[in-house]
Amino acid sequence: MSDALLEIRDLNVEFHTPRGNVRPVRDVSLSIFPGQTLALVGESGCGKSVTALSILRLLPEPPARYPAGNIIYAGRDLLKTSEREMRKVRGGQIAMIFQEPMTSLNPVYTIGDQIAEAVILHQNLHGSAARKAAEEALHAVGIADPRRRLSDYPHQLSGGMRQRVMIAMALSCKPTLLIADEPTTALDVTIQAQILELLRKLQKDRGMSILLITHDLGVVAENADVVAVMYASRIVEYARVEDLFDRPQHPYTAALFRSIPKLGQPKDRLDTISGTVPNPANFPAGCKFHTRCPLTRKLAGEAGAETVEISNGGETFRVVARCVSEEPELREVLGGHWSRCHFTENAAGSITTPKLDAKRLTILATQEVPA
Amino acid sequence: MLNYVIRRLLLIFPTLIGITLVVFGTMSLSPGGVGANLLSEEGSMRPQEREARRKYLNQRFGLDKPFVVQYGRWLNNVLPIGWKYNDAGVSTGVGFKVPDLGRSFVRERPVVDMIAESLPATLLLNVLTIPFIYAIAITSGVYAAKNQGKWMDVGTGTAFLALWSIPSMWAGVMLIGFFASKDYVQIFPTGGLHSTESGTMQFLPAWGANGFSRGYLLDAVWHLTAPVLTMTYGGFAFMSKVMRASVLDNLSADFVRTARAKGVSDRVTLFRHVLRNSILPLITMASSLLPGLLGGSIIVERIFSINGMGRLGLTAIEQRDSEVVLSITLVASMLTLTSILIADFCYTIADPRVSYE
Amino acid sequence: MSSISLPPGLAGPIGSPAQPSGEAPPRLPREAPKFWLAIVLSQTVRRTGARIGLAWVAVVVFCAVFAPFLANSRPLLIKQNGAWSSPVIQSMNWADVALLLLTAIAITLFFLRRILSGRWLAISTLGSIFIVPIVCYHVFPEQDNARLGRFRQMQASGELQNVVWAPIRYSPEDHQRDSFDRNRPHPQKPSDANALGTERIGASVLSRMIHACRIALAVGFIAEGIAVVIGVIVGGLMGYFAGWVDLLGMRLVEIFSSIPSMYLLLTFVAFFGRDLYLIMVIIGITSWTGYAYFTRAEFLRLRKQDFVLAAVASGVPTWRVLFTHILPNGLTPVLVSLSFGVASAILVESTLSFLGLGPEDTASWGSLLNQAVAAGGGFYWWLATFPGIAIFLTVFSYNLIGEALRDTLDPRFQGRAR
Repeated sequence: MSDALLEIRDLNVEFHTPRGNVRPVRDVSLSIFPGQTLALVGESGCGKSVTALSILRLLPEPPARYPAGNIIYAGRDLLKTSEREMRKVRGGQIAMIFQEPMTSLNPVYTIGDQIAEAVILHQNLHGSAARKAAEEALHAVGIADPRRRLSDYPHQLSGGMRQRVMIAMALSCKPTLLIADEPTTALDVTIQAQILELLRKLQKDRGMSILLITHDLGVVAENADVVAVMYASRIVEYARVEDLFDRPQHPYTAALFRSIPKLGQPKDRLDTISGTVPNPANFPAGCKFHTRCPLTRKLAGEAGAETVEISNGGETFRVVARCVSEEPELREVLGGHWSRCHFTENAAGSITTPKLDAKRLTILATQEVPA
Repeated sequence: MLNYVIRRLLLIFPTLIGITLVVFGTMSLSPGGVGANLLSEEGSMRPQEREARRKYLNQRFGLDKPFVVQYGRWLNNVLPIGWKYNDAGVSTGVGFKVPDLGRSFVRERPVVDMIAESLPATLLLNVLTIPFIYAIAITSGVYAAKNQGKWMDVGTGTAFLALWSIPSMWAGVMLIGFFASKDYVQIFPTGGLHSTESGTMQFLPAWGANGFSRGYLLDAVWHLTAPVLTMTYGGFAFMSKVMRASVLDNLSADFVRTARAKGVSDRVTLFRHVLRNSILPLITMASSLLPGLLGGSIIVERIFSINGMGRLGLTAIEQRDSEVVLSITLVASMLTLTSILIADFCYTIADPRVSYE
Repeated sequence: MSSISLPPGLAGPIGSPAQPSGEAPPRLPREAPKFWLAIVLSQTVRRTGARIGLAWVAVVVFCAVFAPFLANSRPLLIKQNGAWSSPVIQSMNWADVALLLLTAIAITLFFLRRILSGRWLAISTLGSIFIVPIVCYHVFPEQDNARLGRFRQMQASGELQNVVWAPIRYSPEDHQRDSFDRNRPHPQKPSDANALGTERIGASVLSRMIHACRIALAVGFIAEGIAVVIGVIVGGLMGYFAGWVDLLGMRLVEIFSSIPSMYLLLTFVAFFGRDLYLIMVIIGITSWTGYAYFTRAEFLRLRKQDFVLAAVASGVPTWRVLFTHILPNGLTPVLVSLSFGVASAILVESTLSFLGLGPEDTASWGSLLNQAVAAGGGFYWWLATFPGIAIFLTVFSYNLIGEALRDTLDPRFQGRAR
């Protein structure tokens, strides 16, 4: 197994607010290997964006603090690197693109100027050499007539083209890792497909790794090699994409798959996960998912279970007592498959840090999702 | 771009007409109408004066004619294009002409000359204030935004609000009363734009046999300090708040996050990315700042005895010189309109998002 | 219907956390006031800036309402020939009575506010503001201000057995001729007799300042009231109907904002004279453009909203859509500018008075300031300092209130939008 390109170990991020401390990311560990796409999946508010922003230390540091954990890249801990060194990493070695291409580009400068800014910073080019590099970057992302486009302003481009420009800007300095925070959420479905295909192609050409943050399982299926599922600040499942889709171990992941409507399947009502994502300022005790978990409720109904009654969102029901009192650890329940639950297949798996140097074996043609 | 300029100028036309209508209407619809001057002064004029006045008013506006005719006559006189008349009152065709802004009853001079003499002083005051306002507003606004919530920000915010609330006439009177008088402290001159001996001064300051002599330039600066100070503080207090709000808005914008993710330093992000975007509202605000400046200069001119257009207008009101009053308001409106147009065009240049089509 | 949400603190916490049973669910907060304006006002009043501003405005209002009792050459009570009488009450003019009545009505309405519905409150407030002054004007005659010094003479000569004076013993119209000293001509410095000095004709500065509070308040509200009405109507029509109405309206706005208001005011005053009410109307006519601008933007935004489309689709007549559906939602920026607008109207009136063009014969802070610098170069510091401070404090107070309103209204909505 080769060395991981980026390794996050037990990352904890804390925000100091006037109303107290909030910890939106707890004990998150993941590893990205060269040429790999790792998808970080979760609902809004689960902590995935904060994790991503922490890698490049883009969170404003007076309210944000890192009480524990390391982010190891190129042999050093990014959490302990000076601001000046971080600036070299940002854009030059690790690049990031964001969700809103509409507002992510500065409206008063041409896109040529903005791409050139990155090139000038990291590659020591100036003037016409920088413009040439910007032109090549635009060409690489498939924009026609790049030289003319250099003097266009962002408001003259469509959403899809703006995202291509963002990608061009990010890749202009040949980073080894690209962090893509929901790059296609704000785009039309057809444009979405184009952008993702572009990213796949660029990744193949350059051997780049991608940390893809998304809440869309379809995107995960087509693009990811390894998947980490987050819920309420923690990683709850970590596996190869095929394993995750074939045999989801965590009740949350399973519930997510069940809620996707499938063609040809007769259904009166779509399955949902009852309840809402907990407020980071007010996480429940024990397992963070127990308030909405169908598995614990099912097990509570069986004989011999030690149960506890809780109320959530107006209804009261019984859950297994252990889920409320004890937070489960992330265990390797199957080979290369981690889950954070008391009741998965091999609940006695060893507690190890998830690490998977895997590439996708097959391309999943259909979203064949287990019942 | 040319398209836009032309379209904008065309749109100004109805506004121009409207302004002239409002200004003229104020006089024409007042009790007594265009002949009010004649009526009110009736007792104190000799018969031949009264007759001359009546003849003048009739020729210029047409006494006892309907409003439209009076307005039309006056407009024709005042515009630089129109029908030209010779002394006998016969039309000599349409063309360019020097606008005839009337004749002062008190001074017996063409109003155009009077305005031409006093306009430079007013323009000087106003034009000087603008760069000061913007310079102070931009620096303090950025500073306040960067230190948001801290003592410096809250303190300057309240201080500027208080500053903005100080009536400029009070500030001017206090400055003159306490800092320009023999009884208290004499930092500033007692008024005017130049010392009485300024005609004999050389331009630059020099050390001569008699010690330090100010020189024309420095003397003018010394005289201008208090008036300009009185005119700027309100403007920069207000603009500073606008700038602060704008910078705060832009500091949390997405493109700033992108810039930082590219590796741009905080300082460069602030000055290159944030500042450029934050200044835009300030240019828009110029349209509301400039009319206020012109009005404010009336007060300043009175307090500091500067012979500008505002002071001319005030004296004209006291002396019931209606032609002067009317024409001054017209000229002031044209000035404001011009400056608003200039501000609009500056904005179009600064913000590429404004479409030219 | 509206997109306005309750401010945090009034609604419960988002998403109840799960707790093991045994703990009671969180208690509901006490019922929030229903009227949106009431919420905004109650939130604003809690801010320090607003409190300071309101404190000074309260002082001004107090002086305005009780001016005849605070500064009067006529005593509050006298006992003459064994009979008590009150010269002050006998000589109150229509403005005095109207103000006292309005205050009484305002206090009554304030205490009844929980019982009466919002609509009744609005109707009674607006109704009394219009009806009371008109009625009083017709009922009470103007008072004669001759021989104001006679009560002082009577006291000196022993005609009166008992006298209860107002705190300041001079009316603003009292030129103190009985105490004229040729060696110390007016204006005089502050002294025992006149706490803030006298002005050029001999009237007490303090007395004039107290009575001038009325002008300040009247100008503020009447002028800006007119401006708001004009501005909201024009702006609303522009925003809702768009098209050529908008084009026309924008020309109107452009016209009035291109003419520097001070010059236009001067022109008006030059031709129409210096009547107080006329000046208030003209200030209103020159300052409506800001309100029109904001209202237009709000109406443009709101007319596309679903609740408006729903109302129109259900056949609600246009004027009703405008008044009851869109207008309450679009008033937010107007409210903020209103406070600043009142401040600016007071400033404008003071400036006019300062330039010698204010309402004639009426005491005003600006006209006192005008006398501070005499033609010959003399400087009467008490005429500069005290009226200036009064103008400054009043303008500053309204600006503080405006800022507090803006703080209450803006970040709230910005937070929700994101």
